[in-house]
Amino acid sequence: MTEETVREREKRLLEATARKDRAAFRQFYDITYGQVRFFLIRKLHDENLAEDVLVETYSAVWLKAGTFRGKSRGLTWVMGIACNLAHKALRGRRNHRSLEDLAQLANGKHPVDEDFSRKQVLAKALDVLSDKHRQVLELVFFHGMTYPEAAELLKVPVNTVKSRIFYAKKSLLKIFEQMGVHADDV
Amino acid sequence: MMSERRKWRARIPLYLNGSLGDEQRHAFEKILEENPQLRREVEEFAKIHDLYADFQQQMPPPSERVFRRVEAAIRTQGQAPVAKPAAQPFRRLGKTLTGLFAAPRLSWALVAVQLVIIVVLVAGRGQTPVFRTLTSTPQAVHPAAAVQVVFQAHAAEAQIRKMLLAIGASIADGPTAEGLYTLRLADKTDIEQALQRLRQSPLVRFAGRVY
Repeated sequence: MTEETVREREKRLLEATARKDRAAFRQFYDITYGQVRFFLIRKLHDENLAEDVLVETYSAVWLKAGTFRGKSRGLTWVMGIACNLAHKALRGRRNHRSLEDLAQLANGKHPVDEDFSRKQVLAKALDVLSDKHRQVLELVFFHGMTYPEAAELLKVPVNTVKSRIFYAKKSLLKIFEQMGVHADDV
Repeated sequence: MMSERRKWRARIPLYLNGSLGDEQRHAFEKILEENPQLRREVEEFAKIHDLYADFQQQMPPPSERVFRRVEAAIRTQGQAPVAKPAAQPFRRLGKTLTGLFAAPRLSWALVAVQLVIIVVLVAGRGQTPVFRTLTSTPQAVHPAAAVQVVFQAHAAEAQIRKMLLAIGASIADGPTAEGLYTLRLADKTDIEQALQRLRQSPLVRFAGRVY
């Protein structure tokens, strides 16, 4: 399926959702659930809170589907809603990044066991990466967004996304090095 | 040359995430063959991209439980994701009312009515307010020539008549349910003096001006 078709499908489903078509809403939920859930868990560092925000997000999709204009992808639009609700949920809460991991890294210890899978290595490294760097990597490589789509979601200029992604890669490779993992072994 | 290199470099993530169109992808791959520095950078990004692919593969299927929570949340907000015919007339009525109030002609009419009310209220502020108390009567009695009186229960009609004649007063109105009489005083009678005499009389329980 080409990118254009995915975009069209998301648009069609959201338009049907705006007409209160339950089946279309369910389909839209099915094709976007994984991405939105991942985005929220990465942003909130709390699975329970992420699920609550996920419920709020899709409730908002049902209520506000009529406001979707199709200028961006449906996924970008729903993640924008999720992002705003996550910010609201985070207000007054501290980021749950593992201070222990940071301390270990600062002491030059290697929190990575030999048994750690590639996924676990990345998860650890991403936890240490700054939010803005982690977000841009996830939007482009996990969610498959273009620069303008990521820029729209992050509310920053496209050029900022372009430069940020290169700084993010540099930081991530540095973190691997600090964790005692050579980038080639990842 | 520099901006050309920067342009291709910026396309690396898009090449890896499949966002480049066919034409751009072919052009990128051609440049890639000729540029080892760009190739090296693509390899670095590819590692990150592959790691994210691991996440993609382990993504859980859409949760039925979460969807049920979504449906419950929507129902709580009164917007059930299942069409409810019974709710349609109310929705239509709501839309009609919304449309009515959104109509510019009606909005201007409401503004005009509000302006008229404001003008009437502002204009009315200059007039003397009329206060009505227990002792005021519905009849128009000139205040300078009228007093109100409540006689004692034991006062006889003959005694009252004698007193009224003595001070030059006559009964203009009354009695009310509370036993209140309005007295009209003769033209040249001093109202304060008349009131004083009435108040000193053992026949009178209350005497006062008409306001």
